[in-house]
Amino acid sequence: MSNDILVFVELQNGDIRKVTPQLVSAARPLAEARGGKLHALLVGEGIGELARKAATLGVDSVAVVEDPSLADYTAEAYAEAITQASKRLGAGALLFGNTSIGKDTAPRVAQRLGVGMISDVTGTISTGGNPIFKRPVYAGKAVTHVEVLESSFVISVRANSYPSAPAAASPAPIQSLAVAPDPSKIRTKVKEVVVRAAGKVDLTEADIIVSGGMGVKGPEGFEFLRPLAEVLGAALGSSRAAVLAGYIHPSHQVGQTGKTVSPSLYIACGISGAIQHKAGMSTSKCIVAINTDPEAPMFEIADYGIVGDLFEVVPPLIEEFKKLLHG
Amino acid sequence: MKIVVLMKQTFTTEARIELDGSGKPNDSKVKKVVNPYDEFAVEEAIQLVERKVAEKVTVVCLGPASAEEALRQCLAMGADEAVRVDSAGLEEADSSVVASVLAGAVKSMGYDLLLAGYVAVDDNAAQVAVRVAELLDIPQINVVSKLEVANGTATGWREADGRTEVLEVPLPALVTADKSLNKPRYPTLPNIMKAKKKPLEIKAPADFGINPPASKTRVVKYELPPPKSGAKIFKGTPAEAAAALVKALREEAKVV
Amino acid sequence: MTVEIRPRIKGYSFLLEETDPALVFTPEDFTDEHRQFIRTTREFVDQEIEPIREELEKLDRDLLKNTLKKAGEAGLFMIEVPEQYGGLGLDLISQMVVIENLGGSGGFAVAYGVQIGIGSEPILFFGNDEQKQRYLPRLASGEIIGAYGLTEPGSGSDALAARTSAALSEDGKHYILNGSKVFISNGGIADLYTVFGKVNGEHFTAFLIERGAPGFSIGAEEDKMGIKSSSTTTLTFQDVKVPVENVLGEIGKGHKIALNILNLGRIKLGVGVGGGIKQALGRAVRYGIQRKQFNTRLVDFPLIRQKIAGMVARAYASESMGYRTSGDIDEAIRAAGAHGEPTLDRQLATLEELSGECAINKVFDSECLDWVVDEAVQIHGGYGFIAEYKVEAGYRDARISRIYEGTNEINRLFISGNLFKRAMTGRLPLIGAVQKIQAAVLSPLEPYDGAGKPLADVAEAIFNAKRLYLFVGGVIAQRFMPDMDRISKEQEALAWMADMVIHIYALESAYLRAVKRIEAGDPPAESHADAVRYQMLDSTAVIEQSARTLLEGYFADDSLKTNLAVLRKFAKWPHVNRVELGRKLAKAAVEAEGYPFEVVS
Repeated sequence: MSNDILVFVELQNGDIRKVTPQLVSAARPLAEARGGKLHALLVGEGIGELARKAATLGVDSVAVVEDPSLADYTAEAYAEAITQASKRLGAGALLFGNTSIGKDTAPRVAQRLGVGMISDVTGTISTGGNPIFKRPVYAGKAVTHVEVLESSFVISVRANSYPSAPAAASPAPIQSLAVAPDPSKIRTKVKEVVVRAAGKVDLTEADIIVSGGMGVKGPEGFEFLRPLAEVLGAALGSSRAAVLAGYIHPSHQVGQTGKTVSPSLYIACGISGAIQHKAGMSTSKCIVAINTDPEAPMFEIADYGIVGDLFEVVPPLIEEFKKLLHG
Repeated sequence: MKIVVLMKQTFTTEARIELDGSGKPNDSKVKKVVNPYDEFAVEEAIQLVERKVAEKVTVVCLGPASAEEALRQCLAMGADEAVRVDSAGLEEADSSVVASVLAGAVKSMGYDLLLAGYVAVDDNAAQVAVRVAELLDIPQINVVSKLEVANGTATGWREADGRTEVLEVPLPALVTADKSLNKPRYPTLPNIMKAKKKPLEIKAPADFGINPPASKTRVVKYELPPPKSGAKIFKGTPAEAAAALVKALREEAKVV
Repeated sequence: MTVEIRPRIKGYSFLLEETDPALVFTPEDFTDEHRQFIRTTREFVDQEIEPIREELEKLDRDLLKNTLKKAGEAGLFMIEVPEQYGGLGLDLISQMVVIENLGGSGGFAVAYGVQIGIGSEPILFFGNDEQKQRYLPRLASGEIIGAYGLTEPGSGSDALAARTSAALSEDGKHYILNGSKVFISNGGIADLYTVFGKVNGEHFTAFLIERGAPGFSIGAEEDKMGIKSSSTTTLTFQDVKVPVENVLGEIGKGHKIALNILNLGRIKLGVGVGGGIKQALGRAVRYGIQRKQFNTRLVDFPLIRQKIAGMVARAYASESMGYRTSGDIDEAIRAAGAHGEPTLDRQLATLEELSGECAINKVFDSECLDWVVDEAVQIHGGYGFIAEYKVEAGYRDARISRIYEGTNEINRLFISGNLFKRAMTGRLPLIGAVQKIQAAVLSPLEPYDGAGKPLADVAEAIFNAKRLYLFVGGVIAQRFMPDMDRISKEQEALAWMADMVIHIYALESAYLRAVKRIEAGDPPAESHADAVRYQMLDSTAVIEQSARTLLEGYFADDSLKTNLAVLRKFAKWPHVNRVELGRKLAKAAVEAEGYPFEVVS
């Protein structure tokens, strides 16, 4: 019963977010160690189609909560729906992506359930007994192993920290839960949702990031990098210096005061690699540095490097990727 | 209108992290500051007073005596009063414990708007403020880049993945600050002097009738990441280097 | 007037006795308030100066004025001005933490230093209430900028030889000024000028002149080697009518103003320069961490480490000394005010008492800065020669510090001359101490009793250095007794003796701070001890070399031999392994990515 595990399936732009199959692969060993089942939970309105899609995630069952109060995301309504659903399913442990919705809702759910929570998990140390998870602290300058002390808990998982679970051969059963948040308790009103740069890959979730620094020399430099990002299906990132210089919108900033990312490939073009920048991307799986200065600190943490002018290196790079990926 | 700001004293972001004999980060070697995100919250609170939307700003911090320096800084920025809830015995407490103590403190001092940074740069947990809102049963607007407060409601521009949500909540409510909310002021010298005369109270959790619960999670180990050995550099013409790089990414690193 | 001051705060008394470390102020004693002042000052530098550093270097007067205005808004000009005149009336230590942390800001630091120093202090100490009410609140807020006109084309070090003339108008309402001034810092941007001239060609007097006065013109900007972001111009006075109410102090007493202001100026310059030392050190270390040659970080090369160690030791000694002197001045002023408010006269008397120490700070710090910026450029290699790297400007900016506020040569003559004068008048019981030493050398030397003392080896070295100074100073003074005029012409003797005094004070200040750390049981006390020992190597070398050179210069034959034999008795220094010590001390700086004794993040 309470040995079961619940994975929260976050929906965005009419689809299941990419972190979800990663949550499934993080959750499966926990479920096995506890001898429990793995449930996927979707909340929203008019999400039947997505529930069917979720059924192939590799979970044992899919639960759906649909209610008009959940049409727009609010932490209050979601926290209530997820809490009730989790109780109904008898789940003892909940997994969220450490996305902006995860950050907003998971601590509320944890508090409502009266359980502990470990945020921004990047790995599992052990699943037996009290599970222990790994999470970075001090801006990535240290990693902690954190043990949950009770059998019920919540974790939120950093995107790209676990591999995606393979799709299931046969879909899991879907059940609809009759759970509805009390509308009088939802005090948050959504006045407007402005989608930024529709269709573009979100930075924190991106598998590949092409990032530019002062070396791009101006806003045109980022336009120069864009085709590289497009051919790779990558998001566009930047250093703080480039943001301060007005080359690109602050939402692209990676680093200490920007976004923390952990893609499988991070291509740093003309970024020297100040410690503040490295804090936001040093856990990337593979780092490529392209810089004219051979002494740029970025080369120290990079796996691969090209010493050269990005304006000369990027065009042949685009050609090579095109050949490889589309050729 | 009364604003309470939750503040944490943290390591500076430039701090070099070293582990001491017991395997924990060496506290004595590192300089401490107001958590940068909490600084945005303090600034916002002061601006609300300057705009005559609010009357009073109280900053609350759970921490040891050394955190009083950070509280003094908040007072010097313009907060009216500060409360340090002594963390003796709670040094290892997890977010759920910290939240229960702070919620009790905030509740007993009264507030209309609760402000905080959305995350602390040291533990990076981003839990305490939201848990406090839950404990107080108030709505929240998390990670805001812009805030308007009028007629008993707060409207916040919440920066979410790929979108900005404009949310409205009735007060009392929690609003947590993102870095783009404002530019925190540095205290002027005369305000530093004035802050010395502002009230800074020291309380124990028991003063708010709180008996802190046990932690539900525990850090069992700290590790420092291994240094990277340096990049493999591809030489030759840009075309040759690009070709070699793409080959390595596919065959060695297996990331494309 | 006479002021009762505790014995330890007698000027130069450090030469005659040991100081209790507990009574010495050190940066580790900073209060929360000091730390907040430091943070605000650094925030100001980071937010208001660093982003526009290149533009400031081009000297755009409006930009400089605007930036000074922002400093005013942050309250940075309020530090010394009393509360009743719109300031904060802080003690000297509290002023110093601000001054030090602005000290690395090149020309801006100069503009700032003029505003809070010679731009305001003449009025603060010598103005009447009406003058203070009129100007101090606006100087404290930054609404107006101050400047100080003393130097003339024909008078630099010989400041009182001014030729600017002032004549009372027939109606007795104005003085008519004629003449010119050169090298006036803030000249091009100031609103208020304290200008010195001679009434009827003889009575040296200070006048307050506002910008825009008819006949008062400001010359073009000088094209300077460094501190390029500061304004430096000539001032010309052609029948400028200065209202009699704008006479500052008394007619014919201008020298009192000029000389008294100098003491404060020297200690403040010294501490500000200390900020520059730490900044250059930090830049060199951070560059050396980043830059690799032969696949090795520069900071991992032993020769680079020795350079860094030298920088750290100098920064440590300079900082320890600056706060020691400032703390002593504060304490003396407080003691002077024990029976009522310390009056301005009492404050000035205190400053005069410690004027030797103020000059020591100025000379030692400015020469350390020059050494440190030079080595910082060296560590940067070719990049240090390129303007893109900040050490290039730092190198040029440093050079003026040895020239203004009295050249280091003038200051050396002052350090020894002032000391002799006090000895001769009995103000300092130096002669007795000299006689004691001279009697002692005839028999085997009394050993130093360092039992149970921390850093006893360093304590013994300092003890011996003082005895050596008293011996050498004594025998040289006796050669010229009783004609003190003769010794004042022996500039080499005065300057080299000053070198001994400077290094004794610097080394002892560093030692006292380290002992205080050790006695407090602080974990980094070991690094403090390393810094002191490294400084000891350099200071004892200077002390011994100066003593030898003095004896060789003023004695010959048998008397030289006898005196050199005595020198060898005293010049016994502990053996220190510079190779190991330097590497270790530098390691602390590399780990801290800069000055390892920084007390505020």
